[in-house]
Amino acid sequence: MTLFLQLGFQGIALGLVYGLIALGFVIMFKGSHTFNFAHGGFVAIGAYVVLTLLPRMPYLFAFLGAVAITVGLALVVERMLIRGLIGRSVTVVVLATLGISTMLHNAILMVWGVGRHDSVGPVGAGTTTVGSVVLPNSALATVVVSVVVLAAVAFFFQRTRHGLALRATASSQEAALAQGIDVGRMFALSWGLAAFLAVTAAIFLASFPRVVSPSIGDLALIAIPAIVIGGMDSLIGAVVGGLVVGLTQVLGSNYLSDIGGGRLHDVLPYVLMLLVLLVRPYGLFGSRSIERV
Amino acid sequence: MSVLTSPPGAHDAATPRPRPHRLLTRGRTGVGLWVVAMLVLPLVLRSELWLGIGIFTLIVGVGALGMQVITGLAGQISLGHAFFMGIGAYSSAWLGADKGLPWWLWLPAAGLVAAVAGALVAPVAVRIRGLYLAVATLALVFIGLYVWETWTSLSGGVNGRPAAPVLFGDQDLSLGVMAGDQMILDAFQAWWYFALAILLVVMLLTHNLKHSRLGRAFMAVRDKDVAAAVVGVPVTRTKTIAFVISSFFAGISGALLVSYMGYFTPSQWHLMLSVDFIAMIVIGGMGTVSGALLGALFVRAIPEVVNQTSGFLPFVRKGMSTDGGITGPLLSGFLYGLVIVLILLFEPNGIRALALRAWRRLLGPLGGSRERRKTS
Repeated sequence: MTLFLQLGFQGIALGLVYGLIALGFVIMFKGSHTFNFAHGGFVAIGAYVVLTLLPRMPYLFAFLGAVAITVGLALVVERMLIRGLIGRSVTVVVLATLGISTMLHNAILMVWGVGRHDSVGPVGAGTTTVGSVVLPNSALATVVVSVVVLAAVAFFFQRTRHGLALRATASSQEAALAQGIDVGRMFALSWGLAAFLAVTAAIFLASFPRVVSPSIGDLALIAIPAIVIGGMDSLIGAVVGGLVVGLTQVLGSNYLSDIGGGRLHDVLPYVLMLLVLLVRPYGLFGSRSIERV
Repeated sequence: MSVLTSPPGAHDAATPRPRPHRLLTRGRTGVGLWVVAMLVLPLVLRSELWLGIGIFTLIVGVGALGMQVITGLAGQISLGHAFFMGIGAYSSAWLGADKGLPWWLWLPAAGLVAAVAGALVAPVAVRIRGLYLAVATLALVFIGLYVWETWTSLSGGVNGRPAAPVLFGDQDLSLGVMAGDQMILDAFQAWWYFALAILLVVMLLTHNLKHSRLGRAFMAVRDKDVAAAVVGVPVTRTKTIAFVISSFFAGISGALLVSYMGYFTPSQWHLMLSVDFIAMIVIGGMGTVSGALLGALFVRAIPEVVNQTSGFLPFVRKGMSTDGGITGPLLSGFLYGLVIVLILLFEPNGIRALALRAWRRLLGPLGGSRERRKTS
């Protein structure tokens, strides 16, 4: 039972990180109708920039610097490469973001190399004991910060002018334009917001015991099953999907380690995703936009 | 959309209707010239590097045509091509290398096993479309990778395994073809002609498929599946058939690929391979045979060209380094991604459209181009 609680807590912490990444995907998808396969690249860039800035300044400034650089990069990519493809077929947009993902991956290897580096989490090793349950401090920090950030995002969407404008744009671009909303600015806003969430996720994805390495971009791809499980256009779905994937991975890595070469937990989210698609093709919380023919 | 909104007759009256067997009538000269060039090329081209790239292009051309069927013709975006190629590769290796069957059995069998896999996936895939389909097929790649790496008795684990050789009688194609004790074709030439022969068969199949009733059904589903259903196209069955045919070509291509390489590991069936194939058809030109082949050449050749020329650039380092630095492979990977995005932005119809335009401009001053037909 103690083990289950410990694993469950770590699963929730990991799941919240995936939830942050998945939320970025969903915000970009709702805001600009682009499913950005390069989002994992933004997560990786965020982690590497924090890593580079950390020896030179306090943690908060390193984080803010990484946010500034990653958001700037996302805005440039959106304005120069993606904006011109609005309205083109899904295949074209998917290929374009995959191309950008390739560029980012190779650029990261050029700048920082293939080696493994340190962790960049705000909290190092160390544990806190609650009753008989031993909780890593990094997981505690992950949960606290993620919940705060998620609450802030929810507040932004529900209670602010720009959040309302973003929701209007997601709902119908023509109607939003008719109401005087600058849709182009909303595209930029959604990408900037997603990039901020990517950096937030990055510092926890690379916090103790995980480290910064080139595979961090691939690690972020596991957020894709989370989005599909939750529903591609649902903000709540992204977080719930992230929690499902995180819990599946952590619990699976422990309880299923005897079966299938001990790596079953790596593919379990994808299997789960296919099952969800089979039963509910629009995800658990997604809107039912799929027509049967 | 165009199937419903543009009824034939109205504006087609001005342009002649395309005759059924264009490959044998209208485009005869172009295709004939291409085939002759392909036959002569390995005899005059003496660079082993470029012969190798050419053979790879011919082999992946088969897979690109499979991608063209599912995405270019039937409009179903699939990121799962690497998965089906992997299935073809492992079936061929098991049948050809472990069981010792001849190539004319393991090659079709590899296609058939992949086609069966496609048929098994189809029930999920035909229910969804667009992004959901892209993501669902992405899952296949990761599940496939896991299976190849875990099923070590088949795949040899991360160390890889030998592939099936192509044997004509007792002659191994990878050692060249001998007549008596004189070598008439070296290994590169032999593989070139073998791959070319199979590619020509697949090209003819794809061309005829496109101009058949089934091919028109594919395109109707691509343009608007609801409209296709209304005019009486069985949408679910049509999509399933597209998946099966595409997987069949992918399986053949995967089997040929590993057989040419001789040895292969699970890691090569990664997502990047699927991305390459989407890039081939989108960059080359959607929905056409020549587009798929141009795209295949482009995707195989560009990284190698960059890799070769980068040796002369002052800021490019030699060899791999763990602490960063610009190396040839990294630079070519970066430019590959950049070129994909730029072509998508500036030439939406791909390099086939670019080549056609250049060709017309070339013929223009000569008073050529008797017919200025729209290239659909």
